[in-house]
Amino acid sequence: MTTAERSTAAATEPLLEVTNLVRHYPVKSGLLQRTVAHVHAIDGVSFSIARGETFGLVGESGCGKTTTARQVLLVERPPEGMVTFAGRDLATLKGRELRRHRRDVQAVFQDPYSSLNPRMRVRDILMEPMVVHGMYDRGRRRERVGDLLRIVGLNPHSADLYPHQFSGGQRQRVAIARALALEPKLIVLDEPVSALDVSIRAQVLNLLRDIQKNLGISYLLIAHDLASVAQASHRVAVMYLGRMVEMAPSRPLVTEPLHPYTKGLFAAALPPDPRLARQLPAIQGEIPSPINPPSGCRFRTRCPAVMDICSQAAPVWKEVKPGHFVECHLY
Amino acid sequence: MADNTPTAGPGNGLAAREPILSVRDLRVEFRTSRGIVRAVAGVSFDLRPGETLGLVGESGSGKSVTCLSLMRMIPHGAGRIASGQVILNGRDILTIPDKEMRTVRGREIGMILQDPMTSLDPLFIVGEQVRETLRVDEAEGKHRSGWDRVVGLLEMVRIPGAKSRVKAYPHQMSGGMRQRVVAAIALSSEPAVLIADEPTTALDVTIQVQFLDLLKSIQDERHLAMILVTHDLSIVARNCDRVAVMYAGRIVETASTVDLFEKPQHPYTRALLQSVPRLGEFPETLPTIEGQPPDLTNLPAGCPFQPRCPVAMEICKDNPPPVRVHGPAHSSLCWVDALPGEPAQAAAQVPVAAGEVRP
Repeated sequence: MTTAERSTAAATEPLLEVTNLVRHYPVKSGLLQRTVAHVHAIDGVSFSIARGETFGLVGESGCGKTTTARQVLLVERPPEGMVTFAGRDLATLKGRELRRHRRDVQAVFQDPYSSLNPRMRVRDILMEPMVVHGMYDRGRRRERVGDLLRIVGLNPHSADLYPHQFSGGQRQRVAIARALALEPKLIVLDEPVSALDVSIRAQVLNLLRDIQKNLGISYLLIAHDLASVAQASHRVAVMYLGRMVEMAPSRPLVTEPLHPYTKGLFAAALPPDPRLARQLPAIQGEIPSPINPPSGCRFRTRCPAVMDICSQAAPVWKEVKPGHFVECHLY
Repeated sequence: MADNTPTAGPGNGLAAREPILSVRDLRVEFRTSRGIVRAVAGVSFDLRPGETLGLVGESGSGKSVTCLSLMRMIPHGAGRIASGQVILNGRDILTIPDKEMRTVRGREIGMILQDPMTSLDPLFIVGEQVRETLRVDEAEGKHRSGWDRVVGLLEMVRIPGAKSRVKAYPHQMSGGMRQRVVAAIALSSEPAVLIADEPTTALDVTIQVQFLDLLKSIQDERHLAMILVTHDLSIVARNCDRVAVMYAGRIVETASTVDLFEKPQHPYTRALLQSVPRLGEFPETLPTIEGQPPDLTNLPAGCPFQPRCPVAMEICKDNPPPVRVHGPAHSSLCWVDALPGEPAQAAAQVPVAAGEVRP
């Protein structure tokens, strides 16, 4: 699995490096709250993100994409596996180094209605992180509020307004401005446009792209919508039930998907064309429980190309073409 | 002509059939602290047995309020149906007494909402919740209730192992299965019209397609007329026979699904189609619709889309746009794109053929 990192690390030193990350959550039951089972939220995930790169994580609910983000954001410390950021091992960060990490990695969440405090003016929302981290003096913070609003395409005068006075798309711009306040190196974007109207989504994605061009920030983009992730990311990884099943630069991933699950996701990402959309078959079956994932290949219960070996042995993560990795017995 | 009818689905050859539901000039208002919001501002359409009409629009376009009005479920006090007609099976259900309306809901019009977790009661097993709707009917002597019929309904929506699943609580089922239970409840009294308001938005992408295909096959079996409300044009492409695009409480364009995707006329429809991300295309900047969604308390005097419209003209500012007819069942509400040599007013007066959707 280390080859995955090496190929991208060769060009530039990666900013974020995730190696063989595992996260199981205990399931407790009964009067004594005994642990009766584990949810296999992520089971051996590895990837890296270069400076200025957008890395997309795609998958359905329960695939582990948000759990991965929680480890990167240090909401939880990864118990197994390794996450390094700018050369620092996240498992052992303390004190100043830890505060530094919390500044360097910021997040934008799905719902701009619940992620902004309705009782705070935009000015205070944007200043709070700077105050908490003791960045800049008072005058400079005020200036920065105006700068941040300009960067995200809002009028600097809107600093005096409250979140409810903005539309959904504008609120998400405020959330982006807040994430930028501490000059981060990486922003975790967890479904940043799924709560927005179709006509507003592209505006926000274009804004994120412009910000990246100007500031050189990296993004970890998490979403379920394959088409927009592919357009917005340099590289994309597809996750299923806690495993990464395919990873490639977005163009080859879209034009030559290898894993049957990726192909199925493509069919589910219906094209806006009535003649095409009606011919696409659906992936059958339901997502199995992550408490007791299928043996061997986890996708085998729904896979149209399933073989005998799939239930007996777990497939190996392989580089099939340069930079294009897949975990499937077909390759 | 053959191209004007969708290539798949029960919409074929239905042009001659009488509509089961006709909505005429529906207007719904809400009183708010910032003034009166005209959430639905003159909507008209027809729905025939066996066909699916897609209502597409962004938040605030009035698509959900339109559906709630058809069920007469606009919250009391806050909003009211200001005018219009909703003719179902030949009678205007906006004028019938409340008691009679209660039998229309469920019996004649069924409804599926977005989030199956909030439509179902978490404290009761799903079988009980299906049976409850049957009991209401039983009181009127229509059906004999019982677990057999409950199991039959869960089998109809293809819940695997329906016999044992009747005893499951909602939280023990996946989102897709829960939504199937909601569908079973909505269809239990065999309504002729089904309203599905964003039925797959809360579901995973692979499960979305499964659920849409299920609705389609039930529709084919029962000749159900369906209104599918969605913001997702890809879902329209797969499941709808005809489409009505809504903006600021108005239907701004309506056409057969194939016509709408291949020959969109209204600038908003075109922009909306362009802003759907397509797999395999990597544009340098994504096409957008500039500006913000309309503020319904403060709409321009003329066309509500004019402030964001890339081809807006002087006339659009102050004059409400006319109806333009582009084909047998294709029309739009816009000043631009007048047929050459044809004055706008003349186009507006083209009589609307019976059973046609009118903006």
